[in-house]
Amino acid sequence: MRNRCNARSSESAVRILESKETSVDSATLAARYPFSHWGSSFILSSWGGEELREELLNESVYAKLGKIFSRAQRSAPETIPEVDYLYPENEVSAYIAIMSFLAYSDYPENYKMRLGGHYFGWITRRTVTLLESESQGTIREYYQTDLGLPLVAQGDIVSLSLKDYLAKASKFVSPPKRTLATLPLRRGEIILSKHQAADLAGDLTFAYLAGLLERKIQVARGATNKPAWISSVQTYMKEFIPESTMFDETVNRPNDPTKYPPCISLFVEQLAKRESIPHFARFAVASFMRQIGVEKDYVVKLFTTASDFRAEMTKYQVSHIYGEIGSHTSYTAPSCDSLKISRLCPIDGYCNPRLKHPVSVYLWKWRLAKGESRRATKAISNTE
Amino acid sequence: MKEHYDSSVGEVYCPESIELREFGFAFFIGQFRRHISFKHGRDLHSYIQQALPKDVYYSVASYRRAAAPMADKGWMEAELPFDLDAEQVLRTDDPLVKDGWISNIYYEEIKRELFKLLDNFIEADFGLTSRDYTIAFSGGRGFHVRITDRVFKELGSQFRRQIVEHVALGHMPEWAPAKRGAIAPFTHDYGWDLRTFSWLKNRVVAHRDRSSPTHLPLRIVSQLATASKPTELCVRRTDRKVLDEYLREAMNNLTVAIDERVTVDLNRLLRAAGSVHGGSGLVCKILSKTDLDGFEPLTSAVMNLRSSKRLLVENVPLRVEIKGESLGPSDKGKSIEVNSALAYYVVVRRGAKFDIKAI
Ligand code: SF4
Repeated sequence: MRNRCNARSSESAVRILESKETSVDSATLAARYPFSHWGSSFILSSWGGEELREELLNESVYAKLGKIFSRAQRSAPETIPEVDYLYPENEVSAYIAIMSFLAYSDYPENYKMRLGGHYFGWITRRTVTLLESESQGTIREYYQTDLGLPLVAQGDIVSLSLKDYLAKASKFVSPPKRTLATLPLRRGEIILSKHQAADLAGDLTFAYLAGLLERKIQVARGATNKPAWISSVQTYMKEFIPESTMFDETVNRPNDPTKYPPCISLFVEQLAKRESIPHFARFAVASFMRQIGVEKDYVVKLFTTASDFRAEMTKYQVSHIYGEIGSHTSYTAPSCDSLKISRLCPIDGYCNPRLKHPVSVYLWKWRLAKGESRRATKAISNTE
Repeated sequence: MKEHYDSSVGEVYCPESIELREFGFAFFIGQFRRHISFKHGRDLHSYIQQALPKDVYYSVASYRRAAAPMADKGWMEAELPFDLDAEQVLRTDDPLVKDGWISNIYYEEIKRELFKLLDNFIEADFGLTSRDYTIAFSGGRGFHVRITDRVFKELGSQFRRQIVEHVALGHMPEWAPAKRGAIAPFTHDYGWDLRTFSWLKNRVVAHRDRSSPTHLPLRIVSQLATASKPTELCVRRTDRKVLDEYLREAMNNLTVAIDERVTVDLNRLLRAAGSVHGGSGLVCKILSKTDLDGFEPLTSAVMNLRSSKRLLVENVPLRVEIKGESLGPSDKGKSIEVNSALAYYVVVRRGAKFDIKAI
């Protein structure tokens, strides 16, 4: 794989988008960080259309994407000389295509978030590696413009105000993986070497992208301009993701909150305290409740304490998850891995490494309790 | 209570934007009333004087409609509270502490933990100054700290939980490969890594100076003595296990066992400063950091009472002195007249009864 981004980068884009860095042009940066302001500017200058980060992209962007896809379909694989790794147009269009696909496909929303989590995991790992080799100026520009966090240079290191960081990070739907205790704190500043700044940027980027996808999914719910190519991609994807893995049956059990896994307990507790919890966590609660056979009204009531509760909207969403409206597909609770990817699992490791699904953990707790009471009964009868 | 509030109700602290706070009151008959709000401090003061509650609380949170039921309040923000309670902070199961008999020695220990919280975390890590927090003696078994800085007030419970972890659990070093097959415990030179490194260095080097044996291999001791910052320390892979033991000890010593439930609760009611703690008879008092050094609850946080009461002493397990009069184990069975502040203090702890015959 050869990096041909410099050779083939759009000249006009380079001219229009003068990067603050003298060494790397902004089209190259758009290729490296397609979700960034560099990517956004690349779209504006070379494709026209709306900003990259808009929740809904306009028809001209979809048309352009369609052209790129049809070009790729027409060329026989053997005639494609090489993969254009970090070629701006490819990177930016791939990013838009993936986000649009995730938002508009007919997959259950937990699956969309899960697939998104895999993509974000990959792209943020790449971001960390690439940022490590950028100049300090580029890193600072990325922090300032894309993450909204000004960095102050102090020789080789940079510092970030802890208050700025907290104000920003606490607004993300899934918080950054790095906890406060792991940060290099000094009197209200986070002191970062270049490597650490890149690492933290990756973490924040993940949180940013997860939030963005969540918003896109919400917007796509009622959207009428679903791009035509989404269905064909979804048909193609069936080969990789058998749909049977997305849906399953309920496991009717009495509702016993003491047996909820820690994640569900935490979400329920947060709802009871009127905290606003991420959309995916709400989805996890509702779909978990559905799977363990809890009545829909009970779930709606759980959400009535949420600070942003809107009765009709909540009823609508819960009914959707229960398969009563919309696609009439009842949704399955996300797996432990999905929750972990979305940074919503509150524990290290797994409740039970062999189960890896909150509903299975719930059933397991039932089995454990049953086993214990059987053992206890046996012990009592032994003493009599 | 009446006697105290008649003269000192003005000392009950009125929080910033009082109209947005929820107030709660416990009464001597066992009733608890909450979802109450006041427009002005004077309304709060006259309510206290009329209702004579046993305890007065107000919310760390500000609400759009503070007097509404919980679901309709409209949460806006909440101070970030820390509760240092004797039982938890001292990691003790001493039954006397449980029953609220706290000696000055214990209070001194709790104060040391409070200084750790303020110096090492709130100031050194979070960069806050005394303008950004308030300290209060809880009136009972410890101290409260409330961070009032805007950014901290807007944090949700997930980040508040991270703050609890930061303060109460600490952070075991992450260990990373270093040069020539060695490993380095610390990945940066600030925050927890610096704190742990400094503790380790003091501990090990101090041991060496006193030639007291440590089971750390000498090569680690000399590595520690020469390393000037955390990231300069590298050890052999085989040394990790033994060093980890010390690191765990460091965590025990450096963390502060705050009450997690209080810090993460966005709707917590905390005792109002200046009010009397009905279960102890001491006053919840706002303090500055400089006040803390000379602060002794049994001298500086007693109710403003002039009267006296006759008591039948049952069991006062340690000598308690308030306003120059004292009661202790040797007074068991005696009928003694003491000042009302001391009388209240021992009666609520079931150390004595009011002597009805004397009345
Ligand atoms: S391991 Fe799975 S079930 Fe347990 S808390 Fe995490 S996400 Fe929930």
